Amino acid sequence: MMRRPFVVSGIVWHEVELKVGYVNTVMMEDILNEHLQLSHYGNGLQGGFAFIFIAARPDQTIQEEKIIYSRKKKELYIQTRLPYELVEQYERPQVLQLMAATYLRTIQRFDQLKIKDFNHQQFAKDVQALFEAQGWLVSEKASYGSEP
Amino acid sequence: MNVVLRAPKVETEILSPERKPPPWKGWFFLLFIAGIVGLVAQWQEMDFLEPDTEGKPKLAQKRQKKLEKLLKEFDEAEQYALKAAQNGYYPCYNCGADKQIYLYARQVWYYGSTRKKEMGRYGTTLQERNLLYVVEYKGDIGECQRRELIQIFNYPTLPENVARAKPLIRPPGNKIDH
Repeated sequence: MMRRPFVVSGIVWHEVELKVGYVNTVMMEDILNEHLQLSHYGNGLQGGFAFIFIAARPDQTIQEEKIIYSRKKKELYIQTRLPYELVEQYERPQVLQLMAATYLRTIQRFDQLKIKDFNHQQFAKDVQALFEAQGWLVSEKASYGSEP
Repeated sequence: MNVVLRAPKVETEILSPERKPPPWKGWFFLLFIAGIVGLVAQWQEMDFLEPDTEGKPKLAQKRQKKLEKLLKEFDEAEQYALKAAQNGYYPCYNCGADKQIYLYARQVWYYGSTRKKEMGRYGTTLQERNLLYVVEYKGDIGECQRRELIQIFNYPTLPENVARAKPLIRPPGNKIDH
């Protein structure tokens, strides 16, 4: 069981630590936990859902993208890279939009994971609505693009 | 009690001394076959070796690749800090009788270095502990360990530690100096 149903954290290069970590990760984690309940979408993720943003330089290949789902614990752990050149360029609020878009894009592909007893389509819709209400997806659509 | 009567053995073929093979010949043949079988089995088990173009044994390709992968890990190690992701209580191994310490977000809990990926080192447990993995240096493992040591020893002088009523000798999460 994870410490909270939604966990958001990061593996970050120290130069961009403040742009990704603390304020942004904590804010995203809090908003998700305050507004959504994983149990509403079924029992498939009742153990928790951790999302880890990797903000590492392109030459840092040691940190890999990963998706780990434990059927036994019903926990999902995802590690996804943020485009480092954008993280470098953006200010923290823009990086939050980048993080939100990355998060949403990732969960929109949940059907590939074939998690039993989890309504991933409704979950993705609710997350999208939540992020839009926070104003996290507005400019991100224009600047970073959408699902190909 | 049953008694079984056996017919006496009758030699049906009598070999002349000239035609009888020497007794060691059969054993030699058996040993030869066993040797061949053994060699084949040994080569099959020795998948870590393979012949080169001249037939001389060389390291098998998959072993060579594994070696290169491990050597690469030594070159691509990381020195990192685990920092409090949010304000709150964290375990403390250097606080005397107190087992916990209150850390503000961004304060260091642990310094480390690894040639394994974060996942290899911690699995998925970091997030349960509410820590952010901050890579401070990337490079050769020796250099990473050197920097880790310097960070740990210099921790007492960090402003966040000096400001405490009882400064710590090392970060809360580092049980030992190295």
